[in-house]
Amino acid sequence: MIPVVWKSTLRWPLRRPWQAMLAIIGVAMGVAVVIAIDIANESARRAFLTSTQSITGKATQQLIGGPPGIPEEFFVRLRTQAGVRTSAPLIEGYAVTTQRPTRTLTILGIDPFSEVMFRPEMSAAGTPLTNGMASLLTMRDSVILGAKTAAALGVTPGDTLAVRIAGRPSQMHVVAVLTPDKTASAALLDDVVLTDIASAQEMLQRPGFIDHIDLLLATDAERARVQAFLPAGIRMTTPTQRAQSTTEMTASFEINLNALSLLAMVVGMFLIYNTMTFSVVQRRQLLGTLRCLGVSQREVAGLMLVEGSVIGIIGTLVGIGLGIGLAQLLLGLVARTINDIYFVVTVTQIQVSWVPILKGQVLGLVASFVALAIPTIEAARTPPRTVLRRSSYEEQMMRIVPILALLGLTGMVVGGVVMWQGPSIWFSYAGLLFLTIGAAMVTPWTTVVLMQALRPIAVRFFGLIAGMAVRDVITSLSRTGVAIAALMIAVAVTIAVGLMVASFRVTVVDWLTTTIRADVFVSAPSMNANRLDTPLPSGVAERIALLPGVARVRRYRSTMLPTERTPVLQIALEVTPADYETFLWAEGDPAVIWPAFARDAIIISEPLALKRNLHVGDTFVLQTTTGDRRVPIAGIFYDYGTELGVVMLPLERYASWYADDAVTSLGIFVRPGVDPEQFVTAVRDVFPDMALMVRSNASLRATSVEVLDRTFAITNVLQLLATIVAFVGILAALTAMQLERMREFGMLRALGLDPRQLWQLILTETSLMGAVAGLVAVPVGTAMALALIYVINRISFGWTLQFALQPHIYVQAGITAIVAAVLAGIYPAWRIARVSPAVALREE
Amino acid sequence: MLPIVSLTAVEKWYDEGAQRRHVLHGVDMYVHAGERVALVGKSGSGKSSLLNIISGIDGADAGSVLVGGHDLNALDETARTHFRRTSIGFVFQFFNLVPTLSVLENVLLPLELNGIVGKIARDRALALLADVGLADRAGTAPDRLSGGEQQRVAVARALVHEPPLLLADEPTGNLDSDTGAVILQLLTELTRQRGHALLMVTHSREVAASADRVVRIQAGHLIADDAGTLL
Amino acid sequence: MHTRHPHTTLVGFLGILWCSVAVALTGCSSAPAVDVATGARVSVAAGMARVDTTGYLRAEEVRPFVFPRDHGPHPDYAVEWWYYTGNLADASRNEYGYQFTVFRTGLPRSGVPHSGSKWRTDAVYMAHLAVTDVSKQRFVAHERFDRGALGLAGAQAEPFRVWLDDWVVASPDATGSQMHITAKEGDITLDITLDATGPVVLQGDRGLSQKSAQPGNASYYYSIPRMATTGTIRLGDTAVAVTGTSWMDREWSTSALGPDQVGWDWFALHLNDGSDIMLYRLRNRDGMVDAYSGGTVRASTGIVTRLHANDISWTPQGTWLSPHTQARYPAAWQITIKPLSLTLTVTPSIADQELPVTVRYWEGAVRVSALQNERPIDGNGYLEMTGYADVP
Repeated sequence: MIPVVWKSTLRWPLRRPWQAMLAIIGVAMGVAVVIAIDIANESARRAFLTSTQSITGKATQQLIGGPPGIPEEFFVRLRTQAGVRTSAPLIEGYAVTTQRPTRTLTILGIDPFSEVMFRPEMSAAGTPLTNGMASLLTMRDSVILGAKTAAALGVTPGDTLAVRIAGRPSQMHVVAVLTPDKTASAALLDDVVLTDIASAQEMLQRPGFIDHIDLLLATDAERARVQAFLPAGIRMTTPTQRAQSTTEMTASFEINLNALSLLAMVVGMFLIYNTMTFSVVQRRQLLGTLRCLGVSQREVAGLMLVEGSVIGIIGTLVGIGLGIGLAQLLLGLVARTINDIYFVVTVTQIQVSWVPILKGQVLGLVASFVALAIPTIEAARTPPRTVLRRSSYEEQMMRIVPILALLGLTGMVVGGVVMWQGPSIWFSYAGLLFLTIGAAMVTPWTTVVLMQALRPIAVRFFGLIAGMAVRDVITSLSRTGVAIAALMIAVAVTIAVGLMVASFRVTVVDWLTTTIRADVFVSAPSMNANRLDTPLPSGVAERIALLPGVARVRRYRSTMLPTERTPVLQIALEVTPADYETFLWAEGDPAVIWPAFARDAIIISEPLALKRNLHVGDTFVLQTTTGDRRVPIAGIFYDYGTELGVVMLPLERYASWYADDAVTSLGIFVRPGVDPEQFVTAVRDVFPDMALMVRSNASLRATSVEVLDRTFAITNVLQLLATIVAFVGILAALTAMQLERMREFGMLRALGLDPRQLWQLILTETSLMGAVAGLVAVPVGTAMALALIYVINRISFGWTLQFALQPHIYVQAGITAIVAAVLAGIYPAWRIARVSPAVALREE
Repeated sequence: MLPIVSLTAVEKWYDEGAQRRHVLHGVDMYVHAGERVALVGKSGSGKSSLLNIISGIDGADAGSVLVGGHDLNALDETARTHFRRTSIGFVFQFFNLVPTLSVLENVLLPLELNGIVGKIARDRALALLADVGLADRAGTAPDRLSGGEQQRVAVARALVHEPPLLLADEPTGNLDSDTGAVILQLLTELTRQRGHALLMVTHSREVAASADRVVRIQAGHLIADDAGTLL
Repeated sequence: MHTRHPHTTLVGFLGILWCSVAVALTGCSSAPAVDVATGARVSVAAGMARVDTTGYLRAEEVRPFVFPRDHGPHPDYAVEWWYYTGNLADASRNEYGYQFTVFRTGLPRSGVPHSGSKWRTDAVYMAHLAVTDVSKQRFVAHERFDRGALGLAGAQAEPFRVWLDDWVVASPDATGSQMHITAKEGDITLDITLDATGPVVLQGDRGLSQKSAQPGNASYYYSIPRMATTGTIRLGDTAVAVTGTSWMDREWSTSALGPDQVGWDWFALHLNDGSDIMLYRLRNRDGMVDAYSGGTVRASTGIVTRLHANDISWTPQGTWLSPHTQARYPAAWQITIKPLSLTLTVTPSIADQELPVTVRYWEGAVRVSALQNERPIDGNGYLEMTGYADVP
């Protein structure tokens, strides 16, 4: 049986269900955002690992080669000379179906005979050779699909699938469909196209090369023997190492998303704090009576904690459900950014595991308890009195406000110091959090100051009701303070994220203008919007150079370069003095850099330098086809193309070091008087059958900015979610606050205020709160933006952004604040204006 | 026999800025077991402060406070709370029933705080509710009761755990005179039956008249009782 | 002769292909979606019938054999193998047996276009390596598959070389009379040199071996029955020097078995009087010995006697129950070759020489005690028994 004393407080929220509900929504949304981001990140990572697993199977080691891959003759030598039988060649590629271009299929070119050795258990079963199965080996473009993928694409054995591979239209003949008997195994076949290695080479136009060789080496001796057999340019790694270094590429991205999601949690915390404080304030009478009757402080604290936990637990549970739903919505955005910037991953389904849920749950509960601490202490300290004046409580509040403000200022200073001096990105975020909470603590004081200044003006120009509204904001500071702080934070975040995105955009647009100089760009289509590592068909560069109107053709070779840490983008290019001004140097003197670059050095991008603490004069190891080379760094240039980092070297040196003369893109300068757009058409006409991407300078810039905007789509969504959480908080706080004053309003009605004037009073009050929040948010948001731009971005992505002050962002934020506050005032105003004065007076 | 309440030279003051405002000056006062004492005085004379000190809600700034054998000055907040839950019954002017609890639950609350639960507690609470004439309203929410009925519940709640001292702060102050008389009679009879001491703060003549003894307080000084005995 | 092999090769290959794909990616699918679920127990005929052999020649008429060219591959025929078995002994007279077999299977030819990939092939190679240690009663076997492309696996005539990765049989010179086998897998190694001590024997009708009544259900078949063998054999940690006698069999065809033939028993025996005996017994679905069974005896004098089904009487002796497959094989054989008044008792050197490969069969070293006109002759050789584990 529930003790009576528990019932006395636990029934309280039941009597005000909407209030408890809003608190639950606050917790739930905070938890949901955190869980959703976690699940979306993890689903993308797991989808990638699963696809990696389907590629690597049970291999213990993997051999990988230089940019074009491993020459296939090496595999033959490995088998026939070194006698490494437990080895399997593999080619990877990507295709999109014409019917569903958003779905990326991973092409796995395998050698079925080699796969056998990797799985001895399979030799148990025998199956007759059907012509369909034999066709996998003998027929061009014949493929096998998993049942799920086949069903999704609506194909059965015998059908032909229209696809685009690297932009080229192609087709696949489905010769068989596999139905794995285990769900886990089925996942490995999701969006995978199996084909014979011969077909893969043909489809992907990669004759002579394979991507890697899987090995099953049981002993160190075997590994050493294979190692000794490897020529320069072929390296041994483990599948986990390889997958890890790839997934690590997204670490910064994930951390940033997590931090943003935590923001929603912080706002959610304010909500719990707000609700609980409020419900304590409302219950002071009840708690006072209980204290008189002999309920101890500890018992009161216990009661509040139980109640808060119930709200926390329900909110957290609801948050899990919401979070899973939200994750599905966010997944697309996360996956798109990863595809745009990092690596190809196909993920359509979220994978819910316990870790993010547990994390979200713990976080939700911890946040609830932290938020509960002050209200609980507050409740426990309720004096055993039956007649308690609220004004005395508010007076007490007014005494606390300056102390709070001082604490808040200290917090902001500490936050700033931690942020600048902190050793890791998490410290920077902790600093930002301190800054935010500190600012929130200063808000009530600022409110008082502003309102006191405003009051005489309000009375003078807008009359007594306006004056009353202003005064009410101060006299109810215990409630208004928290609500304003929460709204302020949400608005400040809007400002900060807005300024950061704007700064990023301005920086990148400037950078693009400087670096993208050629009039027309030609590349082979690739799966990755930001990377061009598919080689152009041979002869394209030469033929374009002969076209009329061409002044110069600049050739590039882009590859992903494996390093001891995450892979970096390696760009080999032709540099002439005319190109010097397209580089902006973060470190190094161009007069020194270019001769060194021409001689033996490389140049690297700012993110790479910052992340690995590299400077001009340091050396960098390039794992080339002709062996590892330790190369000096001549200069560090600004780059906003990829946070992974860029290494640049002359094209000629690349060709000799990597034994690779492929070209991945061309920059074409046309003669004066030639229209670039017409030249684009001309190039397309010359190569009607090739799926070349031919873009003018303007369209390439536009595409780059578009990718940038896509990248920030998820940031904007998260920021919006935080604002929604804050809005719910404001709504909760204001509704509770106004409804609590029902009696007071009833009295005012009795004294002769008409409903319109009540509306006026309440809406003036809430819009004042919005205005204060908006006003305080301006400096706070700007400070946060500076932190994001100069600290967080630099540490996590490694680039220096120009701060772009954009007034419209402030205006937008201010409007958001006031609109949110006014909206939040509408419901209570409506409720109160509707109630007759008599009822309002009777209401306790 | 020792008095249930024994105050000696009790002082109470509040600091308001630079000024010190004395509310109680050298108060000496006794209440004997089973005695009914009325404490009368004007608003702001210090009645409530005195009541708060006797109930352990507030501490005295000087002097000794012995209630039911406890030296309240020597007790910390928790101990005072425990003292209150076992030794004191409260009846308030504004009833102060717990709105979230039913009538019966309100009466059960002090029992539960004293560790008495289950059927015994229920029987006792119901018996007492019957004594105050509300046996049939046990399951009702307090806000459905009239003022007189609410105060009857409050009386039952104050007596149910059989505290040696019952404190009533203007118990009829918020009731019409007929209803007030009924409550007063209930209080008097029930404390008498049970032998509890009753200290009532009041400025009602009727209430004062029903007491064994009246103590008058004026500007923080106890001056005399109606019987003329100097305290 | 080993009519089983087309079946084994095709079925086995596909089994592997199928399963490799399925297992590689799914950790094995026991229920493939296509109609192959029942395939493991499919009959020879059914297995053959599924393969499109359009574009391949058939063994329809007698042809001239030219060596060493015919040691090399015959890619116009769908199925071909190089078959080496031998009985060896070390200095302490411990007995060993080995089997090294390479099969080539042609894939359906209609679909092979000009390709941009060197991996594209129309031939698949399979090989079996087995070693028997009689004194230790041990038998170990391994199987390999590879595509006939890129030099991973293949066959050539001059100089003679057949290989799958690092399993190789090759001649050091163009004559092809000496052959060297090197094969290593797990804990067995075979490194032996074979020298032909007698001429090539053309089996059947001048090398055309008819397997059923239908024209074209035949193979081209020749043997080098006696090859002096020296080298080392390793089973486990220690390699031992061995000497002995090997038997090489070569056969190619496109379609051999008739629809009712379910299995066969094949004997390649060396008698100590210098004669070499090859016998095959085709079994029909009804359990009868097929009329196209037969064999050859080459006497030490060099005289070759061709045997027909009714020249031979076969008596299986007892039953050996395989603990691996639960299949029942004859435990020993009593064979009478009537025209030569020769009675042979063939006993496995060790009972369990069933190969744990894709399609199970029994192939192993045997001892022979013969009686010819009251005269006892000892010998040894290899016995192959198929269709016992595959057929219901």
